[in-house]
Amino acid sequence: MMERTDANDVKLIWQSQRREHSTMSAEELRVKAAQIQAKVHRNLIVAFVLGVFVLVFCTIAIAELKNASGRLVAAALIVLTCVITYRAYDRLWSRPTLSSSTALNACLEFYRAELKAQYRSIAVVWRFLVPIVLFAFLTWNVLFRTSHLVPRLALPAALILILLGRRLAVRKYKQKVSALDEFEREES
Amino acid sequence: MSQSRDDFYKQATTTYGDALGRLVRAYELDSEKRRDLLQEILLALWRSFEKFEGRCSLRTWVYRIAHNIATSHVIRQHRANSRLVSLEEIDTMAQQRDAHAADQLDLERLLQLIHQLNPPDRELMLLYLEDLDAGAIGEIMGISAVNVRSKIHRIKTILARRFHAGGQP
Repeated sequence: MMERTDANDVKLIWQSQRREHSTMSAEELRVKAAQIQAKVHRNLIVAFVLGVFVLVFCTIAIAELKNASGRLVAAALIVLTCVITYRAYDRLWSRPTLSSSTALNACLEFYRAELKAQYRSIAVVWRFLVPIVLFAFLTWNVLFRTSHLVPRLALPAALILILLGRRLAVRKYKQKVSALDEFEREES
Repeated sequence: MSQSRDDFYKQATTTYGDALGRLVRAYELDSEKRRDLLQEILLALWRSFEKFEGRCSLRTWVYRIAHNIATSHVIRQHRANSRLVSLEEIDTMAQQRDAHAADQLDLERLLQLIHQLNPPDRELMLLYLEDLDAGAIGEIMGISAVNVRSKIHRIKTILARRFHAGGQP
């Protein structure tokens, strides 16, 4: 311990700390960035496949259902699904871009966009899963002439699981975004 | 600009690698989390260099991104369990600190002091300790050099009170 230390000595104390962790090489970073990107891509592919599945499901429903209201619901679902599936497909091939003022905007815009991209890739999956389960619950007896227990037990359970998963993902995303908001407030 | 993203990254880590190591130490107590935070900063830097056009210095770019990633990390970690204070408050607290502070090593005391600061003041303190002048600090933080100078004056007072007499009030 030093008995007398002036401001310059404090700077020296600070700067003389030895390095604790080594920095990553550009190659390691490329791998890490690719892993994150792959995760987003994976979610978008799942969403796209689910979208196609919903479209097939709805087409079968239109062909099989006798009542007009059921067919109308299925047709509306097809339109909605086409829009979401197209967006998922579009995002699948779009290259993530950064604003030219990334650092000047205190990096937050970049970080926020990154969080949003990750969240959107998950959210689109929920958007498909919920109508699939609801639709299956409503039309089960018409489409599959099996036991009533399956739609009564399995489908609500699946819906609860989906909603819980969605809630967790949303909460995690909101926590990160509110941390950024808080930081922005403090900075201003 | 002929330099590639990898070139900028290499230049940044060679020049500011040690400073980034010290920065994460000032933002995270846990060694494992420090490594994660450093990786998060390096990843953000590497990705951001795709758009680096030299409109500001490499130093400003690196410190801005590093501090902002580190700050959002510390806010996430600390928002529930501890209160961060300003330079003004910590100056008052310095006069009330306990006698045990005298037994701690200088670096530990310095880190303890830094960890109590709110993000903007922490950033300013770290940039001051990295020996940047008021103009450079102002450019990185987006505030005026005059404002930085007055805050630096306060930092010097706090450091003198805490370290001049070996931790005694």
